[in-house]
Amino acid sequence: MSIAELESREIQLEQPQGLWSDAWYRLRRNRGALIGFGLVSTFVLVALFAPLIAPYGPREQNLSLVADGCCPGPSAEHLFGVDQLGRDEFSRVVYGARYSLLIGVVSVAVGLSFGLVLGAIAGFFGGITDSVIMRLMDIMLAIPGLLLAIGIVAMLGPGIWQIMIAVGVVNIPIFARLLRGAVLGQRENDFVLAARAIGVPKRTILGSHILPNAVSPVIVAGTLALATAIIDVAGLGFLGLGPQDPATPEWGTMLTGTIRYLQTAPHLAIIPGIAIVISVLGFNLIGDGLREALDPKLRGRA
Amino acid sequence: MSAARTPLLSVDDLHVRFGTSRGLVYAVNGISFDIAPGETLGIVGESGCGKSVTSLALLGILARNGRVTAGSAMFGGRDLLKLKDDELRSIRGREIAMIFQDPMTSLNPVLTIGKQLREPLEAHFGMDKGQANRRALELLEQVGIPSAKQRLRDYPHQFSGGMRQRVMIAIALACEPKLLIADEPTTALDVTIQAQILELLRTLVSERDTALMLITHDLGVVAGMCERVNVMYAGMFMETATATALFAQPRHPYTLGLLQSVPRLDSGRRQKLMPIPGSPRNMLSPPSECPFAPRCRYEVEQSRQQVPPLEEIEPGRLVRCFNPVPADEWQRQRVGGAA
Amino acid sequence: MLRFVVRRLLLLVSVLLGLSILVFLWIRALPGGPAQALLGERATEESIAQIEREYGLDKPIYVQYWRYVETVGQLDFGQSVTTRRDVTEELRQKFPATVELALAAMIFSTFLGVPLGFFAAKRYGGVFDNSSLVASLIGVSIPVFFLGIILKYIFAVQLGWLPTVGRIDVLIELDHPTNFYILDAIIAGDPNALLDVLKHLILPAIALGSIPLAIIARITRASVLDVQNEDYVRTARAKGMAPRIVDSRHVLRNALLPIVTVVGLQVGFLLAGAVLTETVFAWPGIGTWLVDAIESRNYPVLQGGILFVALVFVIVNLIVDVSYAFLNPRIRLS
Repeated sequence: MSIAELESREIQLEQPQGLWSDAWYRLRRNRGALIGFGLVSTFVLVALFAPLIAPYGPREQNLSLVADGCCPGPSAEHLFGVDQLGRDEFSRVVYGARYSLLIGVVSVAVGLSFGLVLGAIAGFFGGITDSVIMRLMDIMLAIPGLLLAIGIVAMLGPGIWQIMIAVGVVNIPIFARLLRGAVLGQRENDFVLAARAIGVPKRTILGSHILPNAVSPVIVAGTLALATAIIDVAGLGFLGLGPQDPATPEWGTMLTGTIRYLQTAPHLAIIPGIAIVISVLGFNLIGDGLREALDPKLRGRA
Repeated sequence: MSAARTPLLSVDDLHVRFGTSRGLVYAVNGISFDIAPGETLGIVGESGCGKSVTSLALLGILARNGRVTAGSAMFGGRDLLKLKDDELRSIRGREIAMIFQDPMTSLNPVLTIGKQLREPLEAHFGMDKGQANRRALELLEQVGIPSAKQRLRDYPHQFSGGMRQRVMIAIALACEPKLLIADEPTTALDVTIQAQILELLRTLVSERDTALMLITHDLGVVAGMCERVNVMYAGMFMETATATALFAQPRHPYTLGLLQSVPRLDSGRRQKLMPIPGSPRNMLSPPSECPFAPRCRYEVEQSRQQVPPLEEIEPGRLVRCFNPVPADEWQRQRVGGAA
Repeated sequence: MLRFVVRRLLLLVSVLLGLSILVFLWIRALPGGPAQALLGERATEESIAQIEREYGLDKPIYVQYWRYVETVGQLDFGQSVTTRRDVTEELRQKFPATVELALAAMIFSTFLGVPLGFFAAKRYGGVFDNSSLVASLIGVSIPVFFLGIILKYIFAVQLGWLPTVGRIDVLIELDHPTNFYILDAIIAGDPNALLDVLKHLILPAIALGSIPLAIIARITRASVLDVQNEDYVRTARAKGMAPRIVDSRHVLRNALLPIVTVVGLQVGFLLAGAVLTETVFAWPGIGTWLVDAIESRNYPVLQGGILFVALVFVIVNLIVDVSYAFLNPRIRLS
């Protein structure tokens, strides 16, 4: 940091505030984060109120519409057009939000909970526990994420819950590493040493001192993990590993087999894809905004 | 403040401002000083008083959000503040050189020391690698680095803090500049090393008749090294005097406060340390009153109404105060005990 | 430095070992049991029994594991359930296609990403910077297969500038000594074929490489911004060095270090993304091979493919780590 910056820092630019209020202030002013918040809210609302928003059922077929071949594009009755079996794309995309949200949240929750526990234990207890756990994580990380997920699905068989577990497991080493790093960083901190010196039990130290400080990188990582989870789940769906019932309106699965219709019915491929991009973008924007808001180095920066 | 010969550098009414997300920071609010060739001038002040910003402004290497809003800096017949970057480049490192506070971070970690020494020589003098290497070797020996020849090929992380600062000095003096600016050169070093580095600086500077502008918060450093001293606070000079006069008879309450807050070996056992109360001024607005008034025990009504002008109360002594400290006050306190 | 390399090699070995155990257990966890998995649908009572004897599935587990390590060590992954050919043989045929694609994508993302990030950092806060930030945010939000579909739709289907599938036009005759089509075309001295191969490579490479491009550009920008604020850059400027020298010798040389690490990470993404991209463009590489294997429950292929990819990934990571150590004098000389 340049001396000028150091000097302007020391000059009282702001009343020192807590990490959270500071972060909130910066988050509110971040335009990207606000846009992201808007996108994510839309996504969640659409998912929650799908039955009210969708004009048709997601599995409702109307074969007469495709009697002349595939497939009619956007029209007044069918905003996003119609798919190979005469189902309304708009309704399917709307219901698809439910699947993406559910699968995303569950997989991240799985990865987060197991990963955090493992990482905290490894970081806090160190020694052999640390080595063993980290070695295991390294092995899991030795296989690129999607392939690991594919392997797990191969073992469990295809289906919604299976891909949730697969993507969740892929997330475990990421969170484990993160938390281990945070715990290691805090462990030698003076306030931890002070707590140990007065005999506070290890478990309490972990819970009340170390973990709260590790929260902010976890929040950021969790949000970004949600974004990648949605992408990965869509990818697995696209490969045909997701819900085996092709009527299921999961966005990735909806994209399977649309490639051959690119010439005649591009809307089948483009629209679900755009839905994925928008929701993922929303989470990425929020995640980025959170990262900047919570980064202690940026506090008071010009 | 004029010196006997034509000043090497003559700064007049310098103002520097920074634009930050919380508003404008008025870092330097009108300072003027001269440095004569070969003279050693000290600028003393707390962190954040603008002393470093001054030197960065002179060389044109302020941070992006910093701007000189007024003033001039005459050097070699040209106003440094009005020069364009490529014109300044020929002055930087060549006629005016600077060493910085933290030797641990001021050297490029991926280049050898030799390379970093050769850089200014190649750039300013057009030397080839062989010539530059020979000169670099000379320089390392002059700053007291043992096994200089091998050390040229080493990287910064292989040197200790004190050694790195010696290297910084060598780099700064490589092109025989007329003025060396040393910004807190010993602050980041161990106390024992500090003395060595200062001694080295003093020797080298006098050998070459280089002017030295020594910026520091440490009064002890100033006492041993400088002929004249400017005491800076909130972007302005509060007092200017010769070092001897300043330490014997401080006239500005801030200077007095600084001297009082230094623990002394010869003070009585019951003598309390007297820190300056309060904290440095918020620089988000230009000063409209005496900037030191909120912390000052000698303030008078006028102190709160306008900024006191810098006045020559004795030959060679400038003070910015409506109620300067009596001349013998400091001596009295030292002899008699608490104020 | 030597100690560092040795330590990393040991790490690599232990990871591979762990990986082999994992895959070994995985085979046993597959539906229907390992013998069924290895034989697929054509399993008959006697072939199952034969496999069980061959693999010693009746023996204690550590014997089985040892047998397994022996076979894998000899690069014998068994036979593909669908084609009955050696998995290793098919692997050897298919992997150049994927490597060519991944390399092209890597070159695209690095040679474009680093300069983009650098210029964004230099023009901090300007139009270019902000728009590149937006672009890279959108970039990382697009699933790679969707990007492939879009690119295909625009450039191949609508505009017809580029071919839609495959590595080369079916009508072009070309010998394949190396199976790297670019090399093959050069060896055969056939500029027509070379051009055609390149045309087929463009869209998949861009689709695969766009996301790493976005990430590399962002990391470069962040790294350059960080380094620009470092004290030693200020020292360089105070020495009167020209801006171009400050940028190249002081800023970039230091900024590149974290970028190298990120580039290494992207290889993992490329390997995984190849699976999806190849599906979109019918690219005959490991990706499509694995996807078919999933559908046809071709476990020997899956095992071979995953192990191979993991091996490549681990080795590339080793190379990246060693390069980083080499470039950083603090580690190189310790």
